[in-house]
Amino acid sequence: MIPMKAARTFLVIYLVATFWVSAFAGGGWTQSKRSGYFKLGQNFIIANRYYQPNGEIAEITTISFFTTSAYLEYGFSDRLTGVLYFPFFVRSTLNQVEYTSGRTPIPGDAVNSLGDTNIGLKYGILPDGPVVVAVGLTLGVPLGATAGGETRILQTGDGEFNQLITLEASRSFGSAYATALLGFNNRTQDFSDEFRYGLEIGYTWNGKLLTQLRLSGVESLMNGEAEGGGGNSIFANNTEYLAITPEIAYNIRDNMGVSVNAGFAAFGRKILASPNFGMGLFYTF
Amino acid sequence: MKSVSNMQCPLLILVVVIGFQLLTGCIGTDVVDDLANGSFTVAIQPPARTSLLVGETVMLTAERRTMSGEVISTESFLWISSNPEVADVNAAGMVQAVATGQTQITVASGDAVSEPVLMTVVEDENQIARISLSADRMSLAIGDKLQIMASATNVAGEDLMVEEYIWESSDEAIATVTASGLVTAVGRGSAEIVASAGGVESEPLRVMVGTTARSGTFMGSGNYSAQGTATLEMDNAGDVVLVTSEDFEADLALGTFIYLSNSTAGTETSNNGIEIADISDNPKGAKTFNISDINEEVELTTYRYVVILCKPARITFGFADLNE
Repeated sequence: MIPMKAARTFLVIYLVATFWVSAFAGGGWTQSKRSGYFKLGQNFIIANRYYQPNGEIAEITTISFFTTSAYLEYGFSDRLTGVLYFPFFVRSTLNQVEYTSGRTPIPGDAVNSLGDTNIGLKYGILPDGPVVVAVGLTLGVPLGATAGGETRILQTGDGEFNQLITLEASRSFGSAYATALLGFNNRTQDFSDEFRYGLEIGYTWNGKLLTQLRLSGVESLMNGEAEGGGGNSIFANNTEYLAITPEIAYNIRDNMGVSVNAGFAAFGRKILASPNFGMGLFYTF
Repeated sequence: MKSVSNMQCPLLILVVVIGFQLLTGCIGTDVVDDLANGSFTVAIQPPARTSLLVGETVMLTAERRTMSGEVISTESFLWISSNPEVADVNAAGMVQAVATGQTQITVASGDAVSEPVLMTVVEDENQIARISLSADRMSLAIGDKLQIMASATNVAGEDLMVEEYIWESSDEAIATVTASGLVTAVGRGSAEIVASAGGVESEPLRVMVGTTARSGTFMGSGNYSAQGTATLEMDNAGDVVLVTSEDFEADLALGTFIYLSNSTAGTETSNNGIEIADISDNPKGAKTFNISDINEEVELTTYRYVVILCKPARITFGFADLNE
C-alpha cells in the first residue's frame, strides 16, 4: 500500500479541452427562456512530449487522456442561463516502456473515473444590441481522481474547488461572429489562481456549416505552493498555455449537428505538447 | 424505413464514443531500442579457475547487463584470447590451455567489450600460477604512500614463497612503485600497479590519485526544484559511492529515482543511465548509495550527472553536474 503522503500525482492536461468547452459555448449570448443546448462530446490526447515548467519541450513516456462528456445549457430566463459540464467517463493511461534488450519493462498504468465537473450560471448584462455581454460564475467540482492507477500518479482531476468568474462579449457580423473572454479563476488547496483569456471567431456557410477558430490562454498568478494541493500535485499547479483550436460544426438537422476540433498548445508550461482532438454531437431545444 | 428519433441518436453516439474509448484507451507500449544504442555492458562471470595445467580446460560464462546491472542475456557473445598460443577459447567460452604463459580472455557484444580475465597456464605445481595484490585503500592524495602486498600460489591454490617481485606502474607521472611494493602518489589520475615473478604477472591494482571525489550542486530542471550537493567518491574498499548532502531536497512524484547519467534528458537517462534507488518515500537529506554494488564497472569518471528522475513519465526534476 502506497502511503498517501507520498502520493504525488500527475497531469491534468485534458483541462485544455474541458475548460473551453464550457467557457466559450454561447459566448456573450444567453439561452432564451426554457430553451437550451446539449452536447455529447469525446476528447482525446495522446502525447509523448511535455512542456516543462520553463516552456521547453521534453520527451516523456506516452500518456493519454480520453474524456467522454455531457455539456448542457438551459435558459432559466432570457438573461439567466445554467451551464453544466459533466465529464462522466475519463480514462487516463501511461504507456508501458519495453526495451529491445529484454530488460525488465517499466509497467504502464491506467485509471478510469469521473472528471472534474463544472456547474455555472451565465447572466446577460447586455443581452441586446450590436455587442452582447454576459458574466458567468463557474464552480469546478472536484469529482476527478487525484491519485489514480497502480502508481497513483495518474490524475483526472486536481482535487481543488475552482471558482471561475468570466466576462464574455460577442458580436455578429452577418454570417460571422466574434467573442472575447476574460476570466479569473480562484483556486483553493494552495493552487495558484489563474487569469484566463480567449478570442473566438466563426463564420456560418449556407446556414449549415460553421467554422470556428479559438485562441484560449491561461496565465498562472504563481501565488500558490509550487506543488499545490498540499504538495500533492507537482504536475498540476502553475500550468499555463496558449491553445489554438480550429473547429468545424455541421447542422445535420435544424436542431442537431456534429462537430470536430483539434487543439494545439502553441506555448505551455506543465502541459502535454501534443494535439487534443475532439468531436461532438449537439442538440438544441 | 424507420428513422432514428432525436433522443435515440445521442444514445447511439454515446455507445459509439464509449466503445471508441475502450478500443483506443488500452495501455500502449513505448519501445526503446536500447540494444541499438549500445546501452549495455558485458562481463565475464568470475571463473572457477584462472590458472590451468597444459591441456586442461575451463568453461567461462558471460552476461549482458543493463547499465543498472540487470542481466538481460547470457548468450551470443564473441570470445577472444589475446594469446591463443597459450590458451584458446571457443565460441561457447571453453578455454583450452595450450602452453605455458599468460593470456587475457575478453568477451564482446556489439560495441561492448568486457574487462579481461587473466588466465595463466603452467606445466606443473611447482610453478607460480597466480599473483594476488592487496592494499588497505585504493584512493590516494598527492604525496600519500601506500604499501601493496603481493602473494603467490600454484595451480592448486597453495602458497608459494617468492623472494622478489618485479613491480611496475602503468603511469609513473601519477604513481611510482619501489621494488618493495611501496607506492607514492605523485600526480592526479589513475595508474595500474602490477607485480610479476617467474614470468607471471598479477592482475593490475588500480589506484586513484587526487581524484577521489567529484561533487556537484543540484539544480532544478525545467523550473522544477532541487537543492543540495552530490558527491561521487571512492571509499576505502575501492567502491564508488554516491553521497547526498544533509540539505538535499528535490521535487518528486511517486516513482522518483536517483540516477547516474551522461545526459540530463529524462528519456536518455532512463535508457542509458544507471538507476541507483527509488527515493519517493524518503526524498530529503543525506544518503549514501554504493554504486559498485550495482555495477562494478562504474568509475568516478564514468558519468557526469546525478539525475533526479520521475521514472514512469521519464521527466527530469533536477540534476547535479559532477564536472562543475
